[in-house]
Amino acid sequence: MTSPDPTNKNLATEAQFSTFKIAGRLYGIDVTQVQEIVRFMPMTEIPLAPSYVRGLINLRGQVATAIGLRELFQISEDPPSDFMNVVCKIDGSLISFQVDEICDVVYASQNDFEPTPQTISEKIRCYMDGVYKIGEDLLSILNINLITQHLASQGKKAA
Amino acid sequence: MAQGSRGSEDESAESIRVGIQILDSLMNQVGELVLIRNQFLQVDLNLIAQNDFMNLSQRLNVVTTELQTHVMRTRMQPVGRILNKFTRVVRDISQELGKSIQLLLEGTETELDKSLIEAIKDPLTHIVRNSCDHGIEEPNERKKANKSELGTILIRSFHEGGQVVIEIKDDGKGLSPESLKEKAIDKGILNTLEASQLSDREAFNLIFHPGFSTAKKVSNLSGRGVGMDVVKTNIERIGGQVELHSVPTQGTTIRLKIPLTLAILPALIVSTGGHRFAIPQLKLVELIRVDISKGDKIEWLQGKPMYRLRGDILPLVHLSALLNNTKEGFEAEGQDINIAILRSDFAVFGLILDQIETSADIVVKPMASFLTHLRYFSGATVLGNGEVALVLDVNDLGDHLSLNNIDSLHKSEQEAQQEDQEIAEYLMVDLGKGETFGIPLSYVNRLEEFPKEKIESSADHQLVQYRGRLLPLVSLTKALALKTDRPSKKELYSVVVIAQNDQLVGLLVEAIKDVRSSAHDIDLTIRDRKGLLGTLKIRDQIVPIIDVEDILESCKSNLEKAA
Repeated sequence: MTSPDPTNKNLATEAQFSTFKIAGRLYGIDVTQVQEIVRFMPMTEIPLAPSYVRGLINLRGQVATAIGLRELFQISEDPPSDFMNVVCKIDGSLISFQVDEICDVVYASQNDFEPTPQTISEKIRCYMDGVYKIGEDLLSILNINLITQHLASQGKKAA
Repeated sequence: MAQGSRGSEDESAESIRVGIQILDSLMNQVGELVLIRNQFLQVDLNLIAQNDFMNLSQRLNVVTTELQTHVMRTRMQPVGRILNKFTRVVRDISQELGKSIQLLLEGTETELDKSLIEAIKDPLTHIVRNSCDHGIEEPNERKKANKSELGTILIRSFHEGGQVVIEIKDDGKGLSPESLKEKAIDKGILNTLEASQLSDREAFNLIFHPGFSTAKKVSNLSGRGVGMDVVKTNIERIGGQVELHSVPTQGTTIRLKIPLTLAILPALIVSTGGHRFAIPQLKLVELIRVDISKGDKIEWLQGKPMYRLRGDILPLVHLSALLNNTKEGFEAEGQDINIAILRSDFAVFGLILDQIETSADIVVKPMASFLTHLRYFSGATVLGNGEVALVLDVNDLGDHLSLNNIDSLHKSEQEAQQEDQEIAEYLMVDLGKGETFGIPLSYVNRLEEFPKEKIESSADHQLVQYRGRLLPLVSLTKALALKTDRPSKKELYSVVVIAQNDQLVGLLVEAIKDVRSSAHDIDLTIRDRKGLLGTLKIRDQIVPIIDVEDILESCKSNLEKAA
């Protein structure tokens, strides 16, 4: 993917997304919300936690909670042997989303934005803001606030 | 009227005042740390002797520990900083309500971590307002109840068992467990059956239930039913506890137990099922190892594991079974079992673990907000090797027991404590005619024998030269006014040397027998003569116990003359 010169673009209608792949599909998170990307790290499992809570990671002395997006989206086919962590800071706590593969940072223009099509599975659609058409591919935008809201409501239900 | 002026009191919240001495010593330690760093940088791992390296590591350890304690001290602030502000709060509220209330403060110099001081400010304000508003009665009501018209709220803060306790005590109308239960039934929090089964302690805890208010009328200040539950949540968030105790017509006491600091917690690191866990040392009572080969065993009662600990039954929780949701069982029968005995708020229980590893100071990180509902964990920590370990929530584990016999357990624990405290040792002495008396060993300094010729008489008193000073001697037979057959004509006198307020006194006895210990209380019924505390049953023998202080007191005037 080419990264166009940002000075030429109108920034108001431009957004940058950190993109990654899960089961071959391209997803993106607003780049300003991503703190860093790290390789696989040893995890401490949390007994009795929901399956999408993969464990806790020591991120240079800080503890991050790893959420498996595959498990969250209930995608079970061919899990990768290795995965990457997209670390975000949400409300003061570090959350690391586990994805299959990291891709580029992508500039996308508001003109290419479409709301999420109704046909997409509800399991994933409930976390999505919409879709960008970028070149050959479609980029599904995940809203991490929606994800954490969902996690919190699941937590309340369990409690 | 008070609202306007109160806003300006918080301006200093963001700065902190630290003694120059502490800063100086911090500076020194940092200097030391830099030196050690330089040494480490020069280390050539191929050349350095292992010993030198160990020395270096040890110095690093010492400096880091000191640095840690000093940095902590910079964060410590006297609780008086916030308590003093309540004088005004109480005065304002009492004027508003037309009551006369005085606020007494005790232990304002007790120090607490700055962040904790900020965190307890709001809960404390709420409690104080509560006490003013519906703890203390109207002046005429107080008069009727034979109380002084001036209501008193006492805030005490002190250290207890590694925690800071802040106690807010009012002499108001108090709460009765029954009225709390009725109210809870009214509000639909409990049904009648549940209410009848509540202990008083549990009934008092109802007040922390959301939506609970006992105030008859809702006022400006309180009675809205939010509040005490918020107080509890806030205090628990910082790792503290809230307890309420009340006697109707006498008043209410609320105790806040707050950890000294949030930052660093001594913990025991254990492992089970391949996972590592940290248990706060504060909750740990003891560690035991059930040695199967020596005939120790885990017993099963109604499908629950139990262990007999010194005669008491200790309920057990199998940690890996609990966390994996499997049936409680022991995969490796015949192996020794490690048990950590833990004390939750309501129960003492044993936790079965695979391995007890080490103790370490840990820094607790809170769990992500969407995981706080998870039971049994209060947070996570990073261990020395970089691994993340979960911190066990002992109170939650204790709740898992959900034992009906919590009260009885509590009692047996208290009894056990009493026993621990009251195993006392006594020196058995013979006072002639074969009669045995006991002297509490805590008074005894030394046992000596003096030949007859060394004992001198001055006026009516017997003295002996002892370690460069004169040791006055008191004959126990005389002091207790016991009958003797004849004055003893021994060559060697046995003397029990008692140390009291830097003064030594010798008690003359016929013979010194041995030391016995007893866990029983001294029976006070038989005190037939002056100088006796009572009797004690020691190994099926009734032994009179000598009241050393009384004897010294009665001889004091004589002693002063003699000395």
